[in-house]
Amino acid sequence: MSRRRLPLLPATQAARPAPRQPARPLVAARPPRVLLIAHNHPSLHPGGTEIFAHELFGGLKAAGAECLFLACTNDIHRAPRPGTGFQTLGRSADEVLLWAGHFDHFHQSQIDLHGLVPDLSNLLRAFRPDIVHVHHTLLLGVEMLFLIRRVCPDAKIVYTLHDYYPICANDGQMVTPPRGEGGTRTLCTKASPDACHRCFPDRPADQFLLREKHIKAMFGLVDRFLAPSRFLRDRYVAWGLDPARIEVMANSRPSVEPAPSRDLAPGAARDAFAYFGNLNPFKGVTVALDAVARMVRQGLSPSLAVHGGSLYQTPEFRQRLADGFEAARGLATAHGPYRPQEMPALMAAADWVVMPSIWWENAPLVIQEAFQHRRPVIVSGIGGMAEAVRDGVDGLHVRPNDPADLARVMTRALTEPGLWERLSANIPAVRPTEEAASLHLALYGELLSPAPSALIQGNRTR
Amino acid sequence: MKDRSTKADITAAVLLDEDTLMLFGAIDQPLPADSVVMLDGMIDGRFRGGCWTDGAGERWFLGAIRVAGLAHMRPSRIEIEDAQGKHLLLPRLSNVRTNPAHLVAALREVQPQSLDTALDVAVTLLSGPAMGEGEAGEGHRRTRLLSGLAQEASRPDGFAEVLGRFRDGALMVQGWSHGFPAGASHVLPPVLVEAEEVRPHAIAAAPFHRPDLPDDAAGLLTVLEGPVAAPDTIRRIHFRAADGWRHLAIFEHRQLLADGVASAHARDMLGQLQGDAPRRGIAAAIAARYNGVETVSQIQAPVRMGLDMAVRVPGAGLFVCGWLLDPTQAVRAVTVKGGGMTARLDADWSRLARKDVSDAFAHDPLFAGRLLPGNDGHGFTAFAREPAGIAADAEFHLELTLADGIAFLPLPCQPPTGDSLRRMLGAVNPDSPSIDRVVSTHLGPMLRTAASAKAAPSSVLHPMGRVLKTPRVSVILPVCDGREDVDLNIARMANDPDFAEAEILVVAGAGTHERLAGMVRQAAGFYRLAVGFVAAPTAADPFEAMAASLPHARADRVLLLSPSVLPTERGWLSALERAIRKPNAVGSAALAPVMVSPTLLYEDHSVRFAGIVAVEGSGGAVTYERRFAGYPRDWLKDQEASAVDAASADCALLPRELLMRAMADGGRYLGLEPKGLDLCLRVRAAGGSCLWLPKVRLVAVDEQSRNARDPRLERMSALVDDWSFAERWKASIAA
Repeated sequence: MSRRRLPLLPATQAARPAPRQPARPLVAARPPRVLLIAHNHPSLHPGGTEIFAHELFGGLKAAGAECLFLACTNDIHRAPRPGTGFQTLGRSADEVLLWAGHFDHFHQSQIDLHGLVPDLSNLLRAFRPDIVHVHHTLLLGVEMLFLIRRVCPDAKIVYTLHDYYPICANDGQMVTPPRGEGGTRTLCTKASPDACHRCFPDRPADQFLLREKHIKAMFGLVDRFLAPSRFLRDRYVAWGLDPARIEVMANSRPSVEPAPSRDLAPGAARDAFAYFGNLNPFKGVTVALDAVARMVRQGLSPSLAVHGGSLYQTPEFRQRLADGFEAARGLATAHGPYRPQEMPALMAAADWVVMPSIWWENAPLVIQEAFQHRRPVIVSGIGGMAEAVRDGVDGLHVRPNDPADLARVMTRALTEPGLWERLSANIPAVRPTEEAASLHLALYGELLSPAPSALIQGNRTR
Repeated sequence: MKDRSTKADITAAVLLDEDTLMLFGAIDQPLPADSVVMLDGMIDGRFRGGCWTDGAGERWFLGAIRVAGLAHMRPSRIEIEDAQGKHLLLPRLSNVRTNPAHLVAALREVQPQSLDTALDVAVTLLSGPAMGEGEAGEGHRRTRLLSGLAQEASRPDGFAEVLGRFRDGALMVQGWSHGFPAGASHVLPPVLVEAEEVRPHAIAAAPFHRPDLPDDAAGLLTVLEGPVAAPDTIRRIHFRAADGWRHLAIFEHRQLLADGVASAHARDMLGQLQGDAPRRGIAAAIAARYNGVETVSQIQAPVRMGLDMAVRVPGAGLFVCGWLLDPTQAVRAVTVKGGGMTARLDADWSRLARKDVSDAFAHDPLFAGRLLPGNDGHGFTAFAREPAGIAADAEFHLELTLADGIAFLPLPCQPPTGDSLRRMLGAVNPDSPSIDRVVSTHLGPMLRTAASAKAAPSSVLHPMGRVLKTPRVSVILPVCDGREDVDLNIARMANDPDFAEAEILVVAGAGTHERLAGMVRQAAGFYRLAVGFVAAPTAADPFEAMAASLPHARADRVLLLSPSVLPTERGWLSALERAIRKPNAVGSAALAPVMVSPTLLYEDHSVRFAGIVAVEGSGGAVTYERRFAGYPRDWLKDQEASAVDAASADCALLPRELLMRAMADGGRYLGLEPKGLDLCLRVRAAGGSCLWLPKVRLVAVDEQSRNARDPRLERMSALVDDWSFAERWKASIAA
């Protein structure tokens, strides 16, 4: 894939397809009952999917829908309890945790059907949802789609695909494990039994075929898939999902006051870069550290604030990370994990956000957050990042996994006069949660209407 | 089919028991040795017969007819099917007697020269399972028939001088005679041992030279297949010599060998025995006897066996867990024997992988080249049901039947203690396809029998703190874990005026901390509460602790309160008391005595207990479900106090007398969950009812991690409990 690939979307607002009319009256007079299912709860594990699903839950409730938020959990956050799989969070009456610790990651499959089925069936019968909106089947297991269909035959199942877990057994990264002499990871464009077996030599190729068939069989029960990016939609269509059943629906964020831009002394450069996100081998933080070290050698002195934790990472990776910080000592600072509410203050201290991920990404939350605060983003020019950030318009693209190229682009960012101001001014508005809720309600209404209208593809993008 | 009428003359007919008729007479046609008999063309049974021809050429017969309930029938047609399928019609019976002496007298009178043959026939007719066991005891008519015939036919010939029993009941006899036959058991006719009963036994026998005897006599050593009557009750041993029946008398100074010595004694004699075949016959008979010693390791074939554990619950059954390494499939059967019981193990055992066994024998020359890599299914777990009446101290062993012999392995059984039963449960594979049957036929009954044999936990009361004359309520706080104190619980009660007149029984069950009593004493003094510290060190769980403390409760009402339950506000006991006093005001239909529980919440405010209700599913199956379990507590907002099918034993107020009645026959479960539900169902079976108060809310937390226990053991316990619960209540508990 070319790093200079043009953004998939036209640059201007006016040129975009006409959006769906929000909140068309629903067929049923009463508001729909929506069961939202996520693989975790943001207050236990604040990942992008969990955060978005939970915000959508709030938006739908505010728009009048009757909602129940079901989040899975496992041993990492909660212990199982006798007699029930359900637990709660605080005093919330419409949020329930489901302990689902017996999960087969490879097959995305629930092992403990005996334990989970009665609980989930009872919940479905008690809540009687019109719409079951699944945001992930991790922990839950793809088989639960079958259960939902059986217990609530009239409910419509909507499934927002937030990553590539169903396609790729390597934690959905679509990146190969380290291979070859240099132990490098390479981007993968298509899963196949042979290709996947090369990534996991211990598993015979036919297991990957069985995995794919199993997941696809269960996905056949979903009424509508949503893709937060066109890139992700294309990947799933290439994988075999019916294009008529998957449409693009951009993620949203609750509105927030943009953080003020950094006050600069006269003649000072926009040289404050920031990295947000988990510190793992796929997010490219070591590429960023390497780039800073290279800039130091060229006599430049940018600052890189690294926000995020390295929980559950291997000792080898932690060592690489430590070496990277050492090489960029004085300029790169590890600030550790952050809470979402700290984001405006952290943004206020930065000019640029860097996201040099070496995997495809989907619709990264960090880009939306940066855009909300009108910070141009320097991204790897691939996948969901290249789609969300337009090179030279509201951000800059770099070649993935190429510290020299990142150093070159970062150098341009801090030296080219007027660049920051121009890119910052072009940043589009991020879809607010209210609008996303209303678009979702319109979609639900469409699905629930007796004569469903034809799907218009790509009409719910940002 | 055409019948053939026979010309027959029935000289004597004797009923030997309710089902068996013995006939003697003359007949013109041969009778089948083993066939079916029809009475009046409808009722059928077995017929066995034997014929001989006398010097005058007349054909005589003895026949046995066995039909259930024969003694109460008056059949007019007796038809016997012969070998060609033709029916032979016997003449109508008259003058059927019950005294076997009549038949013996008739034989002696009519066929005195054929008494030996008649006894041969009688022994053949009356042995084998087809003819049943007959009545027991000395008055037994079969015994009287056989001993009567033997009396007439058998002549004395030699003495039995040394008698010794093998462990399995077989008998070794050493003595001398003129005509005792020699050979292995399959070639010799049986002997008749005359003791309280007369019974035939297969034998192996061999002669040996004795210089003290005349030339025409010889020493003899014989092994009688068991179980043989006790040696000291034996009067004679009748044997079939070539020319007729004879008997060994018992030598006046006969020697009775001590138990277990027979085997060694017989082995010592082997060298002196004459004749190859008879000696081999004796050697085989000795080798087939278990004498308390392991012989598997002496097998020439590549077969080895080891035991990991064996548990016996007397009266219920045995569990055996171990491994059998048999790569050439040399073992034909594995049988457990002991105390008169015999049960095949390998027909229905579960095999499991034991790579350690393969590894251990990988370099053993006996197994070299015979172990297939990856073929590690050497382990086994097996059960055997035990018939009633086997002695509690019976010894058991395993018997391996091979193509050319038998090997033994002693089976030291552990008694059914809590630990051994838990190990047994942990060894069983809950994923076995036969697990349902294993639970219902073996584990369930074994654990139930073991539990019923357990003594009720004893308890001692130690009063602490203030003394109350007439307590308003007795609080039972069972402690069965290692917590050092119950300060928080006591402080909560001290802080609530409802508990001012309550006696608090802190019951210390098994495994409690040694400082608990000291801490409770200190708290009782500080808060000025009336506390009874009940030491019940054998109470294994809260329910046993409750039962142990009940005799010490003085108030009419008892509050069961788990230490995990933490009251959040005052006044909740009064609310429970109001509900108990006016049960019909809060939803109970009748004025039955009431067990009332509040709502219990987890620390995250999800519902832990909001009543248990019986739900009838498709097909009428009843399941007890915990309502709202795990859901947010707001889901209870609109709920009113109501009757439920079960309250919570974690926190419940009820009349003491009702609890005592319910606990009189405690349910036997491994887990606490079914015990609690079972208690409530017993309360209702004892005439009580259960209430749940949604508005009274307490928090209950599990301080102990539930993951600490072995998940396999947990699953097995749950399977057994499900079975026990379904047996008792014809219902199941929701997962």
